[in-house]
Amino acid sequence: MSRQRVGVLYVLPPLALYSFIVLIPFGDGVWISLHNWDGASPMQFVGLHNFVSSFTDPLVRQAFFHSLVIIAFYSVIPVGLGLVLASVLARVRLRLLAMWRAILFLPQVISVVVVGVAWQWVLAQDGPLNDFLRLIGLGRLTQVWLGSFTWALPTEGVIGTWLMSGLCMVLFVTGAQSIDPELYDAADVDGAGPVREFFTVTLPGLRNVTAVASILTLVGALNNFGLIWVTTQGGPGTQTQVMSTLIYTRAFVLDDIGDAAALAVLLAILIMGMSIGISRWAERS
Amino acid sequence: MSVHSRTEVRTRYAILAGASIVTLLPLVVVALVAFYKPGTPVSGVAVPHHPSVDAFAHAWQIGDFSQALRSSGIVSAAVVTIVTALSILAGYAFGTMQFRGSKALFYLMLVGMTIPFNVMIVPLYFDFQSLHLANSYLALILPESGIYLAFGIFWMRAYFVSVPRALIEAARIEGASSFRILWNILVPIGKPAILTLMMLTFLASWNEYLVPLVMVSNDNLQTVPLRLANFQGQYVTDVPSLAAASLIVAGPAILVYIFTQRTFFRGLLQGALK
Repeated sequence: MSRQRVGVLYVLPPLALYSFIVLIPFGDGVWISLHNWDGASPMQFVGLHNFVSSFTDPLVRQAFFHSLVIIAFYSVIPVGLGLVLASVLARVRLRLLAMWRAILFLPQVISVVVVGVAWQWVLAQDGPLNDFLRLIGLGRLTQVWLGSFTWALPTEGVIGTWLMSGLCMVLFVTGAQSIDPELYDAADVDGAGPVREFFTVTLPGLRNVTAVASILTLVGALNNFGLIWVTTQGGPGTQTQVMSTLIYTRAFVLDDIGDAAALAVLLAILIMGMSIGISRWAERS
Repeated sequence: MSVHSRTEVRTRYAILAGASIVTLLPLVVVALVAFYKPGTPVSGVAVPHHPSVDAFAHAWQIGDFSQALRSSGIVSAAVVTIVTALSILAGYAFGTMQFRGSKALFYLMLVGMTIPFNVMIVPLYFDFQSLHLANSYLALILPESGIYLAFGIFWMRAYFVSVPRALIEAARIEGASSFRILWNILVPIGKPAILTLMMLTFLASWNEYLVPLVMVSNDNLQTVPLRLANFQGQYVTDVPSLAAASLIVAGPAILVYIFTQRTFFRGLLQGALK
């Protein structure tokens, strides 16, 4: 058998599963997004109407804005923290590295449902956080954090920061350990201070790691459904409604499937665009 | 080489220790509550004076976690097997062979890593309904395998690309078939990469929430995260039982993680930072 054919044979079984679960349903999703459909009666073709109405729908705008806030907490802050930590720990041989990273990575190993249950208790009326606030004389700040119209969204954000920071720290610290120490020595000879060292040695050395961490946390932020669904279901009101929970609500609670599909397609475009943008940035050097 | 002062070194370890404490604190606080008697009202950071495992027994029984753990075990085992096997096959082809359309096909599969599952889940739900496969293990195993496959192929291809060509050429000259080269040479030396992929896939499947939430309504098929979410809805005031249930759900994943973390991190960091 020719080697051409052999390659195709190896790819065929994976391609079949991938088509059945990803490609064809993706196409179906795009097709559904062009229709009005409640899941039972016949589909009604409406062209791009679902997309056009998405842009003017105040609930969609709100969810989109909430998703941007979530990105700041899930992605921007953790990547920033990872970079800072990496610059502090660069060029040091760390003792117990295996132990530190095993602990910091732990939140990634645990189901978001468990994370949600744990934080709900920590943030509850009688939970440890409010208890602590009372202890240090800030009792007037206590509240049900996830039930507050003002604080629910930032609180979801902080849980995300907790979830993602360890992952970023592990990636950045390990990346920083692989930067050639001679580069730092050269910078020292040039009389560079810690800030210049960060921008001329650490940051360029971590370009790839930054790209990987940014894409992972961004996709995590925009796809995060479980954590918000388990803790607040988008509430109180619609204060923690993000794109992913809005899509689920429209598809499986309101049976507004065409609209949900259009939103999902928009979210896909957003995630793909951002991922491509970040990889381009990483490859340009 | 600059000399680091003692305070500098101390600051570094203080930062690491601080980050570790913040990471562990919410989990430890909940774990402690699990050792109260079920139904005990608890508040604040509470350390049980007379630790008891009654809450575990209580949660195990009323949550029927033995069934949920069995479902999760079956689904995870099947998903890990399928994803690993298919990723090795495709990664081998994309990483070591050239055939017409191979580049385009690889990129087509790469795109799958960034498509949010939200787009596919609605059509998949209706597809499985009409195929009468909804409410079966297959309704969990096939979607999860398909979704994780894109990453698996990307991961295994990176390994196969890194294998020295001379190794493959030498075996070919000796007359080994392409499958023999894969099975007898490349799979054994690729163990770290393969084990890391298995571990990542296991964690993803064990912790998957959206797929079981949408695809199964039958209680007998519920996996542990879904069971915990339902349990939480019903027993929201029984904090010790809820905490115990959380530990039952997280326990297996944490155990596997602890026992494999060395290999896991070696593979993960080589792969992620390549």
